[in-house]
Amino acid sequence: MKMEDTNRLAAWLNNELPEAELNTLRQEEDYAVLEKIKMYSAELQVSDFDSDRFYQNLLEKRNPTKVRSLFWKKALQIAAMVTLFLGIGSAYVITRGEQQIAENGSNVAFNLPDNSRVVLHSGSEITYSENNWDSNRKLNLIGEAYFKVAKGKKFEVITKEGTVTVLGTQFNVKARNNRIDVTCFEGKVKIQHKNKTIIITKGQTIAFANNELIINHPTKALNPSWISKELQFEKVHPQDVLEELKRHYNITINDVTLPKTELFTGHLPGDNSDIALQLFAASYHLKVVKKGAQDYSFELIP
Amino acid sequence: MSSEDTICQDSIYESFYRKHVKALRNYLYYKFGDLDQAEDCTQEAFIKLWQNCDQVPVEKAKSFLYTVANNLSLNQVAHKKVVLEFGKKNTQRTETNESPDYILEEEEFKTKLLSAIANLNETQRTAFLMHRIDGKKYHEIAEELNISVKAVEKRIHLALLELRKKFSNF
Repeated sequence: MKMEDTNRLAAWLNNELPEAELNTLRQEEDYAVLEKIKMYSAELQVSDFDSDRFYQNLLEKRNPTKVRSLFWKKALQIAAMVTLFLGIGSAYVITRGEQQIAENGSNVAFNLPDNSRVVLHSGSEITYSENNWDSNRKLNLIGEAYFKVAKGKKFEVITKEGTVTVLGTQFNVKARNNRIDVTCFEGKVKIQHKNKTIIITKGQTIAFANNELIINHPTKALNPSWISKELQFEKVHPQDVLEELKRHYNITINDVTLPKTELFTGHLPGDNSDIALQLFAASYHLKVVKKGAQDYSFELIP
Repeated sequence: MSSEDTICQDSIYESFYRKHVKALRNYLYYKFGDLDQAEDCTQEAFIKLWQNCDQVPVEKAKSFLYTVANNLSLNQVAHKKVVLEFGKKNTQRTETNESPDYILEEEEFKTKLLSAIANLNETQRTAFLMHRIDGKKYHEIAEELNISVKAVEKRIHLALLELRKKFSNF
């Protein structure tokens, strides 16, 4: 009797139904009901909303304080087996809840609800949800952080460059600019990257950049170099070294053209920006000029 | 758009917020039936927008906002019934000589309408209320729900059929 597959009521509700069809609709016996639904539904509203107050709350949450309360429930239990899954295409999961930010120039250390320890390097950020933490240990990382993971269910570090899944160990993940570096300080780490699988053990470090394994060798370090005030680089693009220095020291440096092919390998002090910059500049035949406490510029040596 | 305008600027962020907060919060409410959940989710979506402000061009911000909100709402399960109220000024009715019987009948109709709307399925209810309460155009609803305009019309049409069915003997 009616052609309900044309969505004609949607057109009618929007006052767009052609005259002929409208007349047909009016002939139908429950047209009066439709009219009432239309009339009364236009009067509906949701309970009121204080958008000013909501905005104030939003601003507070948006710019959170740096460190929240720490929990020390029990000593760290360190397990021995770690599995790392890396995949450039893996989803970047957005969770709601806690957020920790290390601004440029400072590190932030905090404990997760299960006493897993996290140290965030400068210019990095972690978000996680405290709800059901014990059964759902997931956090999102932007930047670089050092983890000492307490024994328990699987522990996931989600980054744009890949997802790291572990059962408990000490390891450093640095995920910046299409490159991920992983160093294992305790336990054993299995990394799956595209079709390649690599298992690294205590005291080994690897890096993938642009889908290639570019570093794989032992290390004597007991914790990440940046924890002990030293910045270590291996086969890193000079521009990325510069970005790391800016974050670590919270300084500004003028734009300078650096060679793309001459990768930087070496240690720079993490507690003296003048010396760090001079050492770096010397490697590329540049001169450092200090323009202010937090402001430097590089100049070509004539 | 001037290339200097970004959501990272407080003034632009705030005016974007003013423009979209209420509709987003309402939309999430129609979806969840829970005001607290809807407002938490709204706040979270705006925070995510701020955190990604340098990567989201102003013209993509609305789509980003709704995408984040939709993703967040995937985890929400316990739906309650949407509770609405009548309050907007009525402009269509003629106010002459309404008998008590008539008024009673109308009140009954309104009560029944509320429960019929609450009992619509989520997709139909959401699209219907975005049109009726927030006065959105079908193409705006389509953009926010990330579906076609045809699909929006289908949902609205089915919602009206469903509602009308509830009043078949009224």
